Amino acid sequence: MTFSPLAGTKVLDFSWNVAGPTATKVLAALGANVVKVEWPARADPGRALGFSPFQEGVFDSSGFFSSVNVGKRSFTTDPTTGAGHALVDKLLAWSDVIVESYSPRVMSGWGWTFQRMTEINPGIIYLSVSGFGHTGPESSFVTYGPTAQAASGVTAASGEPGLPPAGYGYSYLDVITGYQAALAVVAARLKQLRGGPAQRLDVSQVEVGAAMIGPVLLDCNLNGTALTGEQFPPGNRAQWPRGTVDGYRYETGAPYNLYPTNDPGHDCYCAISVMSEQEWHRLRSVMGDPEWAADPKYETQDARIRNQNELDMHVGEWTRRHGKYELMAMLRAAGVRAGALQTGRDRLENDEALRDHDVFQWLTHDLLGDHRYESVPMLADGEPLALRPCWPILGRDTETILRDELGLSPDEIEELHRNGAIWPAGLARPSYEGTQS
Amino acid sequence: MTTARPDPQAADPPLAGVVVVELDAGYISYVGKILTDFGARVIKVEPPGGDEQRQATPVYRGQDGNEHSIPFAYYNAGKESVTLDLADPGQAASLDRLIGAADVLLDGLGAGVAQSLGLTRERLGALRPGLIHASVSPFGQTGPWRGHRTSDMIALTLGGVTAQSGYDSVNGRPSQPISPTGGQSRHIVGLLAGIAVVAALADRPATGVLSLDLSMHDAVAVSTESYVSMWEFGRIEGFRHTAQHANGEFTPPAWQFRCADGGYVCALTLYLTDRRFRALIDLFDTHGFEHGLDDDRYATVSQRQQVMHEIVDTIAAFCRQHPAQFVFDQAQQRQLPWSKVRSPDEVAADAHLHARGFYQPLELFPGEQVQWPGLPWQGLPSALLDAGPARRTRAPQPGEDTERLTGGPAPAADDHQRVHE
Repeated sequence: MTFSPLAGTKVLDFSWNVAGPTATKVLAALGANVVKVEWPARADPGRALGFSPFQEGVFDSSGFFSSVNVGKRSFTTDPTTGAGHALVDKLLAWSDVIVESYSPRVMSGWGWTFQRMTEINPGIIYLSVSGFGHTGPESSFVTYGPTAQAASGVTAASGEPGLPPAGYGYSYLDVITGYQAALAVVAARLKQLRGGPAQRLDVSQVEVGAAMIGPVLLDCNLNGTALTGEQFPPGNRAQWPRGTVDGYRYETGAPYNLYPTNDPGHDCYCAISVMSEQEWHRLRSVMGDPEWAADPKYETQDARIRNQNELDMHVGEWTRRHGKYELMAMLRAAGVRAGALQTGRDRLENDEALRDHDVFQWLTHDLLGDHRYESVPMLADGEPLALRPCWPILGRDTETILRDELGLSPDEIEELHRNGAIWPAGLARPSYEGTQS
Repeated sequence: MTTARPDPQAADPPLAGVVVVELDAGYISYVGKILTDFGARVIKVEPPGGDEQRQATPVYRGQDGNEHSIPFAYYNAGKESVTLDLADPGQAASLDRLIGAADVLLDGLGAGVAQSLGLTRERLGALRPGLIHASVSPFGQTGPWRGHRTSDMIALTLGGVTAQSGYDSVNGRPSQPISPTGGQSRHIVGLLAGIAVVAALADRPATGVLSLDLSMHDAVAVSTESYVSMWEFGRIEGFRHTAQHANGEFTPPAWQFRCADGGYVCALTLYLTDRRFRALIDLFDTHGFEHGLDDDRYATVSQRQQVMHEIVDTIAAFCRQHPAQFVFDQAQQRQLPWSKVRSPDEVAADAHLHARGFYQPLELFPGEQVQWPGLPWQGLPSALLDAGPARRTRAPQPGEDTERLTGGPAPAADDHQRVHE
């Protein structure tokens, strides 16, 4: 039996770029019926994000866009016109959930305040995703993922002591905010199914970031820890000597770091974490019981944490003689926690565990051909959750949705066509021939 | 909306009435936190002596003189605790009774452990028809890496987060990867597990068991934004850059700059539209900063792309003359998507977050109210914040609820009643 708990849940998706669309991708993977609403003159900027040759004026050539929006259908109309506004009203009445990620005043500026939405649909769930939230003194601030990361403390919390903040090499808070938003929606959905009133969910990326370092903020609040010292940010380590700043991984051990290997290129590292005396003895024997490791200054975990600089140097001299996957295999076989530094390519091409769980699923996109897409990975009763091979090819599903979901007659649809309400008058409409929704 | 309490009819938290049993060896307490925040009753079953996570640092020395683990308090606030020695058949029977009265079993014991304790699919279905059994483990309950142990840094490193995060290669020094802090590997898998469990409650099975098996590694591996697409669609292997997206360029224009006071700003130039470029020039002009950017060479988006390094050098020079907070304020007044890189202590004191009610006073340690970094969504009733004074909001002491929840042999139906009280 397929795990599809949101089957029958209708989601109207006005979200853009990455955070909101990540939420609706997750909902779609769990069975929700997601309709992405855009107007070609202001299409989702995510359509221009890259990695397959993007052509100006072509809306469906982005590989990354197709990976964030898999499982959704596309509906085109212009909410700023009378006919478009009326169509969105109809969609609002049809839907269970509306998701948007505009700046805070956009939806209300178009006339859809939460109050207005509840008049159209008394049980609706309205979720907004924004940088700073829709209330408060900084609600008008403009953000992208990296901005929100800087403002929330997660950027400053990562890096090597004494160096500039290293933060994240991607918009972590776009991904995580997408997950938090999906979580809020499924929780609100439980109340909706019980017949509850309309719900207004306000997700702020900065608050998501702050919640993701909750214990760090509590340490500041409770202990007055000022996180600007010589041991913060705490690098890749689990611990610094007791009494100094923590590693904020809520784990203890040493050696615990990334170690260089003899692979070519700049991704030549292996992570090793020794978190008990037993694991330390195992590591010593894998290394061939070198003399230095018998030194009393490495005898206990506390001592190893105190003497980490030297310890890491010694371990690094040994790891440099091996490859990252070779080290991982040797260490795992001996019962030592280890993991190769994997890139996107490594995960796609070299990772047998991800392959076994069908984490990157081969799907055929009408325009992009066969590619692997990131699934929402879980096994439900032993089966991977399968992505639906369906993408919001711009405008392709408008008529189908008007007919099947809103119950419009062929004449009514034809009139919307003539009025330019579902595609801009001057713009050539792509041919959808040979493509399927 | 944010500080006002919802009307009484809407006040039920979404998971009101849901009972959860949590068995954890360090992987699933964040899922228990999510369910607690949504109003479920989460009963944590710990080994005698308590969960190892109780030792996790940093610690806070409370007014009661005891050292309290801050992360344990954060991830276990509002839960109940029962200590059981599962090797003892009598105590294992108590676990059976707890599961018999539960809706969800959270299993963070590691691959195969629950099964080895006799908690097989068949047995669980007999104990509680319709149970949702969600497990979180390092590599899942099946597959070639099943059973290997991990750490937070290893999970982020194998899953791809670390390879794309870290420092630029500077002065011939190799580009150093950094695995971000805060325990993110548990958050990533915990969020997907939480979504699956809550969604499953909307459509739960009447009989048997729904088993949800989540692997930390799989979850991290799909949570790296565009890094997989970069190879899949572009055959690009990215380079790391300081506090900036990994990409195919070795030295792209920077985003993060050091300011006059030693602070940093994230001055995003990624989407430098005409309007934003005019705002940038206005920022410089207003503060008497010589820039030369009104030259025709900078007139259009595509021209600016060609000379972005020059623009970025100009921004960097401006930042060197002003404090970070000043640059942040002035940029946002002009709708530039920039921010100060705030340290966590600044975030803990931030006026906007306080005005929105993100921080709430909560008894997180015995007898002590703290400013609790609250929920990453606003608008749902919260079990912890909206509860009456009788509701426990701190983390439980080990076994604090053992007697109340398992005391004495009793017929199963009776126990069901007790657990649901």
